[in-house]
Amino acid sequence: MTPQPRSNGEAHAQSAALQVRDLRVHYDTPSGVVQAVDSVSFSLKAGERFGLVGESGSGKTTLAMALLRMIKPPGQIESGQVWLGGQDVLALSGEEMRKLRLAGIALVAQGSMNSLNPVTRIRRQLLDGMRDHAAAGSNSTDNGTSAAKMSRREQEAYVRDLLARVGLEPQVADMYPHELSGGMKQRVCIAMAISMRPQVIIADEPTSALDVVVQMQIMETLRRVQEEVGAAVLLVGHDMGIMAQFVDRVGVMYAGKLVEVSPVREIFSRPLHPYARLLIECLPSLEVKDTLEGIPGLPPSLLERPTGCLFHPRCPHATTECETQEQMLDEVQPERWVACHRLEQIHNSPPETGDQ
Amino acid sequence: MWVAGYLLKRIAFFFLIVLTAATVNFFLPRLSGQDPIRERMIKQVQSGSAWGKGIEEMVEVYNAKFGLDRPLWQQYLTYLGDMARFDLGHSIAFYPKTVKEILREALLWTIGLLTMTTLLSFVFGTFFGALVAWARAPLWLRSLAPPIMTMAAIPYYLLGLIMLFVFAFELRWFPGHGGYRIGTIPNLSWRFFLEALEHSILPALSILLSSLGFWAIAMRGMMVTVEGEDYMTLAEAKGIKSSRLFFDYGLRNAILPQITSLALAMGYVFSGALLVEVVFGFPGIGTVLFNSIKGVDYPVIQGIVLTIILTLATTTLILDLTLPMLDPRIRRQT
Repeated sequence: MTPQPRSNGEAHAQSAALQVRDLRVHYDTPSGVVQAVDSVSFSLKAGERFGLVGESGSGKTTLAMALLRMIKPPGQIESGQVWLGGQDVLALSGEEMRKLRLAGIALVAQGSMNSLNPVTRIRRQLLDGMRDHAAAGSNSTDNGTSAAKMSRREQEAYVRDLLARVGLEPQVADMYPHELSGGMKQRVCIAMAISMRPQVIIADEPTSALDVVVQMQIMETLRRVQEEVGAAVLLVGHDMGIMAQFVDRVGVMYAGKLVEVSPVREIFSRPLHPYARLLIECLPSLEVKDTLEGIPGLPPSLLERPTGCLFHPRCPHATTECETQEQMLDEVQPERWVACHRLEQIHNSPPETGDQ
Repeated sequence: MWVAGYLLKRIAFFFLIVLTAATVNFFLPRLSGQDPIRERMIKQVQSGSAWGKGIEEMVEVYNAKFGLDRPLWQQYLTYLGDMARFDLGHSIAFYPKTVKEILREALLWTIGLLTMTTLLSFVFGTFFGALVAWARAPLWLRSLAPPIMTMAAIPYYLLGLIMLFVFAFELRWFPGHGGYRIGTIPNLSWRFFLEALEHSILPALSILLSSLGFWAIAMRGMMVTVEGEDYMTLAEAKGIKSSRLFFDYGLRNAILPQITSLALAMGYVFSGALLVEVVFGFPGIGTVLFNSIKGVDYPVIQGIVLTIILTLATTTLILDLTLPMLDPRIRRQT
């Protein structure tokens, strides 16, 4: 479709754990087509932690679900490519895709409170995913963790090991979800996610229902096990504090598009895209006491998206060019990918602070 | 340790229900202000089978025989004692027969017809409802949903009348009345069983067809709700096989309210299909209850109501004891 696949951080395409190119997802609603994910490209190196931030409705979760190929009608993956290791994810059959889930790409879901089956014990829920990956196909041969081939003793040891990895007592295996706290439930979910040593873990707002102390513990746990199994993590969320502490790189989404992808340090110290910059300026600061301010205006309706740059109606730097011309994500500095027409003008005339 | 306390509580509750219901069962008919024996006598006089003279004496004699001349509290205590021994007394309408005998004959027919149809429609309806909500189920199966759900809107006695007309009177495929042929004496033979089966098909079918949709609608609703739960999403992301997703995660959770409904439905087995039995002249509890209400036969009415209460209380008890095994969340709360 698109003549030239563009992807950021593509220098080591071979070592990429996950590579997404021009992914487009839309929902066919009665009132029109909603373009939830629009030509998104990015890649994750093995073991890398990548954060995906954006407002509600910016397409983060849709993107995450699309990577698992779990978009439900009326949603549809329209075009694009998703490569996991050497595998073309979108070309797999339904059954192959099922086996790739958990073994190659695992999910730590959003609602930790209800993510576990309320009527079965934790042990069973830790094992049943692996059981259904018995005689796994090409994608998970060297994982060596097929529960079906394990003896009862080995399974027990395996469950024990998984729980220990996420800091839970072995007795938890015999419990039901309602007997666990929110944090413990999410730990169980993390244990599940690493149970088959996937290459990529998608963590979709894994701490949304937890209090801050538990949030920190969960993120620490996720980081530790992720490093142990060497999985790359795609962390979806809008908590900039967690992003700053957890991820290596951040991708900022706006109305279904990636507008900036940068290493985490740089995006916080010097965001390049005007949206990213306004977003980061919104963060409350401990030093400066001031009223909290948001970004003026609202995200556009995805049914009637603006022409040109999607952010132009709210952008303080917008010109007529922004209103008509779409701008692709481009590597404007090493490791920094930004989609903005007016980058040079904005950043070559510094401390003008963007309010003209 | 919760088990012992829980059991005790449930069983105590069972007896409390039975006692309360038995009490209501005793006082309610007496509040109606009818005098069953006098009415019976007057009827017999009217039909010419008894002499008009001496009625008063006869009423007195019979009242003494049935214990109806004693004060109410004494009657009540005697009644409770009798109930405890499951001694239901004699029928007024079929005098020398005891209520127990009448019930025993009728119960077999009703259990055979209604327990079977209730269980069958529960199993098929629930499973069907779950599949209708399952997007991966075959299309032909899901296209059966509208007719079956429409059927649920038709009262089963109406469906019974239609079936009676079509299959018994027009097509003459099945017998239209009774539980066996006129002239046959009920016995425990293979031939009699087949004969009874032949007579049961139409009433069974009319109950089955109309209640199937009821189970299916309820189950479909629950299944749709469960499918929207986070654990279904996560289970799918775990790469679980479709069949396991359906049974272990979907059906297993969606069926819980259905089990409660089943227990209640089983309790109503004896009274629920009264009209079907009447329509088909089926010799079950429903017909007996219908006739004894017409004949103001207190002991039989009370006996039947007591049986209904007992079955309801029993099924509720069974439900209380099994549900914690199916849903671990219940264990904590009680």
